[in-house]
Amino acid sequence: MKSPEEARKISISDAAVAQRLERVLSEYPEHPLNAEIEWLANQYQRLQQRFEKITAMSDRLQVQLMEMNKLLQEQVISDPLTGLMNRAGLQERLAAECARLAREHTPFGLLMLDLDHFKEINDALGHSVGDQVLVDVANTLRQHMRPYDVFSRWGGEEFLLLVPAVDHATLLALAQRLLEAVREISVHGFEHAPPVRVSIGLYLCSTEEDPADSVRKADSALYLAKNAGRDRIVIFQ
Amino acid sequence: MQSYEKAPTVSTPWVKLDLERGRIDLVGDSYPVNSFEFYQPIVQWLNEFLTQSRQAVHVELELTYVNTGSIKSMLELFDLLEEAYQAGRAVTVLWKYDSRNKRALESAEEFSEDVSFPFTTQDTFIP
Repeated sequence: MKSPEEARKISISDAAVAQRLERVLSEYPEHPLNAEIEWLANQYQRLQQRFEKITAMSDRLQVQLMEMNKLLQEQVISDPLTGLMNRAGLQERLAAECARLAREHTPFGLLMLDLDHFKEINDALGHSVGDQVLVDVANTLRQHMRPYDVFSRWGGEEFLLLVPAVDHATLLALAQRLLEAVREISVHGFEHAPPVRVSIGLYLCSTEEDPADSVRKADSALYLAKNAGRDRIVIFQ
Repeated sequence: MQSYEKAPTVSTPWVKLDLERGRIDLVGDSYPVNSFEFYQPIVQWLNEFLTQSRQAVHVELELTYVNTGSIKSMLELFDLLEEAYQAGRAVTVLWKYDSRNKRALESAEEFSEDVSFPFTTQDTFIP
């Protein structure tokens, strides 16, 4: 049998258990059951360590799941070609913005952009050139973005911009800047490529309404801009 | 006692316990609702194998997702293997992982911490 000094070497990380064990072993150093107590104490310690290990590994697993969830979440709401938010992502933000308007009466703006004559670019120069134009436009839009603006690729060559907490003059100035910035884009490597232009439908939402209705209004303004000859802004009245 | 094979499901790995070769293979995801129930036959098989034979044991694990219950059972398997190794049995474990999952190797390392038998890792991702 081990001496009491040796028995004390059992390392129990739980202080209360260790103290009690030490007391028993020093009070009855010669007790015939001490070896059993030591064995049980060691088993207890092993179990404790195993528990800690499994918990740590399980925590790591949860971190891994969370990371994958975030990644998936990002993929679900982003457009792979342009890196902008996609339609689903914007719809979510728009719903939140409509709710905020109802709550705080803060107006927000929508700019519905559509590339002019995009089909011609695609047909004449191929889809990879068309894709590059979409990427260039997305990057141009991004440069004019404030941190809280949400720019999305709404459809094929359609972009919807959600501009929170904005007034009419600021929204119009932004639309004007975007219209001009897009005019600066050129199709690389093609001398006779059609010019890159955009039509914009502008809608300032200042009263409570359904998100889908606000999009329809921006869209109808865009429709008018197209009919009026493209490369221009039309404000929804 | 005989060899044993179990087809994979969405939440459980492919299991192959080869009596002749003394080999255990687990391949796939492992998140059974009742992991004790799933792993008990495997633990039992290994236990019997170790009692009935003096043969070397080789284990190959290629698990992509392992839930907490499966981790516990895996540690149980490793306990048995470690005990056999300490008693003089030839034991080897190969842990296959995909390096695109940056945490896969970490968990392999965590599993290998408590064992002294040869535990090797192998990256299955070919770029």
